[in-house]
Amino acid sequence: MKNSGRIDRERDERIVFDNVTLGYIEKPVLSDISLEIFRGESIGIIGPNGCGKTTLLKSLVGLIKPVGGRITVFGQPMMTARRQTGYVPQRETLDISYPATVFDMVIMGRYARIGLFRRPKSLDRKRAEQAIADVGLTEYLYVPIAHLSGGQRQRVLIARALSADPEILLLDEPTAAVDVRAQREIVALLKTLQKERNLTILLVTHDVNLIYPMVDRILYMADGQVFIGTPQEMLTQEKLQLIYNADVIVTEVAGQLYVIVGDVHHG
Amino acid sequence: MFTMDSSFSQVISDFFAFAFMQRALLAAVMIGILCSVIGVFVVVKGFSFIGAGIAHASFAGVTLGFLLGVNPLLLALLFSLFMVFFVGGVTRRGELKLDISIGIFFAFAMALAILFIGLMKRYQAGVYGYLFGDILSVTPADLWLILSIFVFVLTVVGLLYKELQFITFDQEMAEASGLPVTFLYYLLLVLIALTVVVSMKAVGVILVFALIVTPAAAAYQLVHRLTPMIFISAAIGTGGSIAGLILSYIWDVPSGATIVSLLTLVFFICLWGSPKRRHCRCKE
Repeated sequence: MKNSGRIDRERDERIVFDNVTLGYIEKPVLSDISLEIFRGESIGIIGPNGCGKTTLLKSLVGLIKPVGGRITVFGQPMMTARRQTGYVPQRETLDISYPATVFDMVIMGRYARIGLFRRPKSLDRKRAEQAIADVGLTEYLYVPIAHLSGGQRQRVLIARALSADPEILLLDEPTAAVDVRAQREIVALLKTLQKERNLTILLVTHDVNLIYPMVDRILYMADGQVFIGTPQEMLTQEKLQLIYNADVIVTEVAGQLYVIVGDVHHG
Repeated sequence: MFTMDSSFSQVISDFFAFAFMQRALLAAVMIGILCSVIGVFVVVKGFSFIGAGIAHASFAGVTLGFLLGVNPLLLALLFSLFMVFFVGGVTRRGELKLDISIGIFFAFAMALAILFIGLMKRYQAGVYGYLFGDILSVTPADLWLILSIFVFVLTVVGLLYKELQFITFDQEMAEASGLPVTFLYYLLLVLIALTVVVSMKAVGVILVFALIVTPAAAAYQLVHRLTPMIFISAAIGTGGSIAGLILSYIWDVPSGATIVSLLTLVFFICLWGSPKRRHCRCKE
């Protein structure tokens, strides 16, 4: 099952995890994983809590360094390429008590590009404003972040990542703890952004049903290992029962697969 | 000093007639601005406790300076930098929680200070000047030191403003975006240490941190952006320092305590009138 779903397309540029071990040498979170992700793909990452989903994302922006193996991004070492990567952390990490407006927060995404000792120029302001427009928050440009709803805060986090013009977008549970309408809006937004900006997207989620229509492949993580395949390959009753360690029904409604997890009473 | 029949303008003109008062006023203005600007980063980063720890570590350095006959400010700076790198290091490596490491070092620094005072052969009045503050005893040499630290700290803050803003808002994201976060983190702690050390003689170890935290906390109640918060904090810090100094002269009471009491009063007024509080009430 490992790497069974590699998409058969001619692509020179890939994100490559080559025998990568993440965590501590004595107690790795992910051991010796090998993985290829192609430019422009969108990958949904699922797995139980504590399996290393966030660790995997953080390793792509240098927040967690591999204790073994090598990560390359589009042919470059990860630390060199990390400025091409936009990271959207879990929304709970956002300090809404900080005195900042939507614009203040989004332009921070460009600070590393601008460089030390330099002030943002009009191009940087335009990029930040464009990113805010892309996530549909233009009318909230100078609204304090404390005044935003959960879904709007998630959009601001996405806008901050976009303001640096990334080629890769990493999202850690972007649809968690927001209402159903906001969840659907965020997924629709990500689909549009991927199309318009040709982004490579890696998205951690617990909601397979929500992201299934927008991802090319699904990456399942458990017990320090990773398994990847197309949604059709991964979303089978047998595999999902192993993944969730629970009863699972996979059903098709209007041409779309739906996964129901829980104490399912058959028949 | 102040009698009922003397006019306010007479008091003010008397106030400016003395060279020591002019020096005190200059020191109050510079320290007021310095503390309240660096205080904004302390407040938004949640570094209040680490700052209090730095102040107490500095005092251990001051007492050792008096004991050995070495410049007390130099040793205060060394002790506070040691505290910064020790606490910052163990916290960043995740070996100890910030409050535990500061709690231990805070008490240890005070224990050292008491030991050093106990080892002194004779009474050193200057030590108590650093403990409770004595802005009226600021010398021209002290003023030059305050001016140089004032220029240095504000220049660094001006040059690295956006980076300091990012690391105080979201350190992990700043690191993920490629900023040199470790350098910036320690730089901010060093700026706090310099500010504490240079302000200690004016307001004292016990009160210096109020001068850093209170104006920034008051400004935080009024605005939703960092840049206006810095300017309002500086205005409150400077205004409170000047007014506190004048009032202490008029009432013949300790200046450091008057400045801090006045700033605390301003804080409560800002808290009472805070638009943020009203926003919270509206949401409820």
